[in-house]
Amino acid sequence: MKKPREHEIVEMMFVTGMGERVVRWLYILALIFVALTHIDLLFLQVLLVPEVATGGEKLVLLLHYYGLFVYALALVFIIVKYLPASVVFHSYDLEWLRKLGGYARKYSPVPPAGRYNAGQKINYLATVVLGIFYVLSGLVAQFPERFSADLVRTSYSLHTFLLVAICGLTLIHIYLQYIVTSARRGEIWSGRVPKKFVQLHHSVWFQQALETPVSREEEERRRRERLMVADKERIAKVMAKRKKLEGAQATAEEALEVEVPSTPEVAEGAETPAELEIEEVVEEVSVQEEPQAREGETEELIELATTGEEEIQLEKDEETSESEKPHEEEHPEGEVSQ
Amino acid sequence: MPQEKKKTAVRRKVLLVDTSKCIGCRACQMACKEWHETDSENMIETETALVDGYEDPKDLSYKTWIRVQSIETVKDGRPGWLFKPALCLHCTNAACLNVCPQTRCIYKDPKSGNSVVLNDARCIGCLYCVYACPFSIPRYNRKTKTVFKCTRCYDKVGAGEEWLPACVQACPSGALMFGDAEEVSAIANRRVESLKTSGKSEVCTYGERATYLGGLGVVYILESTDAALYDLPPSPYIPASISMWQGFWKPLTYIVPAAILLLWVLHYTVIGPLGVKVVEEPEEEEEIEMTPEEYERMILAKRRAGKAMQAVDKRFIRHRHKLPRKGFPPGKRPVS
Repeated sequence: MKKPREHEIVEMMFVTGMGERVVRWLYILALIFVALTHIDLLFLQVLLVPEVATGGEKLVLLLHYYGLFVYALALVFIIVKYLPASVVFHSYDLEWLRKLGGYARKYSPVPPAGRYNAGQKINYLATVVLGIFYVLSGLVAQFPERFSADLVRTSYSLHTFLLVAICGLTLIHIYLQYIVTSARRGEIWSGRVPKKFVQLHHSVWFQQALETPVSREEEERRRRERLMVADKERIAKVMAKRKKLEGAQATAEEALEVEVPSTPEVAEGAETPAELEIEEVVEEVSVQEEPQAREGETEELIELATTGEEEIQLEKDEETSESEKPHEEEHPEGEVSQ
Repeated sequence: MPQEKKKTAVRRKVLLVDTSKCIGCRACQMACKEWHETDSENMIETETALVDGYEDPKDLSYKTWIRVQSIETVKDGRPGWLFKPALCLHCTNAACLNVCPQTRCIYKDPKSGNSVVLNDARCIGCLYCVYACPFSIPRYNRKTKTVFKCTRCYDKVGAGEEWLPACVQACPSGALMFGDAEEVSAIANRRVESLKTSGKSEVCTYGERATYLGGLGVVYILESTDAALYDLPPSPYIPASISMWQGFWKPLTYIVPAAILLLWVLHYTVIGPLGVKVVEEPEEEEEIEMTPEEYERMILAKRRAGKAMQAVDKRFIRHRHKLPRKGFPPGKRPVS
């Protein structure tokens, strides 16, 4: 077979995890349900959802009311998931907006963006605001006896206007994100997106968080360090409380200086960090002591690993630089890091 | 053909309510309930218990479609009552008809002279008509979750010229009259003039002119120019929230998506998909032959360095039956 050229190989990377994708699909499905039933209620002469499917025209109102709760739930998920990232605007977002994100010309220089570009942030904020008012006006329209007649009439108008606005915004969002940019279609489906696309279109995020790929072992180590710091703070608080109870005036800073493994009484109060410490120590020791035994254990490792098999084959065949790497980075389960 | 049009033209009919002749006997209430077989008001269900005054019941309801109001007033220095039968006014530009989403639920029946008929069998209970009506006529039945109002006995009237609505037929004093719009107009104006000559200067009609929602199907002769005295809005109109809703936002529901789809097509054909111009042409490399093992090793080397491959031809990976098919086992989630 022919060797593929460098430019023919498209490197992909993960940008959205399972949670993000599920949240977005839940939202769009809830919106479709609510919008179709709402349009049915406006124009029952032209039933978009057939009468047979909804069990009659009387049920469309009930379905729309139930759909309100599903939509509200999806909206809450969307808010929780995307609020921290979408509220902060930077200077490069202004630049993005000035250049209209590169959508206005056929070939245009790509404006910078962070994790989410300015267009996505504005779409998110508009969706949330409109969605909240949609839900509220829908509730007023569903229980009109509890409100004044003027409020009910205004909310009828508002509810229909918001339907138009939300549907229009969603259509524009679908077009600009998924029809015009073919690279983004993986965001909502497989989660994988071409790496070069991320490099160009979310340049700031790529530089800050992704340019140096972190191996699995490094990620685990950093996670454990973070946990240890958090536990140290917790232990410090516990120590401070105990010292207070004993009557001593100890500050949390003094307590932090106390070594964790050396105080057995602390280990009672915080079980996880001590155990982790012991595990890590044991691992480091065991890995350092047996570097050469690795090649002899290939068969056990083959059973453990699924994708890492090819690596082990390669290790047997080629001389790789892995023996030169520090042994702490080798995870015993030898999996492929992406 | 103008002549043919005239033959099939709908002759609008008007029910005239002359409050100066009304004696408050409430025969119209009784006749309506008799004809339509609607129940009498329950003292427990509606709050018409402990009736004080001459009003019974105190309000329209899903089973009371006509009701005589007695308004206390001073007549010639002595206390008196103004009796006014209240029923649906069958407007020409009816708000309830405009707002109802249901097909053939609220409609104008031409056979009975354009009565605005609400068919409760098709009602879905959305209550739009209840809040759209400027006179607050339609009423909701909580048990059946449907709305009711006066139908002007469209089925009875539509059966023949000699039939009249039940209330009109029962009225003993001739306060209620029913007929073609022009005839009834003439009668009403003559009555107003005769009342004026006999000393009542504040007599007027209510609902004849087209400013009253296109002309009402029920015209009142009131003994006072102050319509608010009779609990009637002096200049009834469909509020802006309702007219905007039906006239503007509702058509936008199909105009805006169509416009956006058109914009899609225009944008895609004129500007096209988001593209980044490749300035450098890729160098022409000579084609190198590789064995499948070498290909596999190249791919795995790339993967090991931390990059993912999309264009991997998995046919050439040894032990591909052991590759994970979908999902990630715990602890093996890739770094994102």
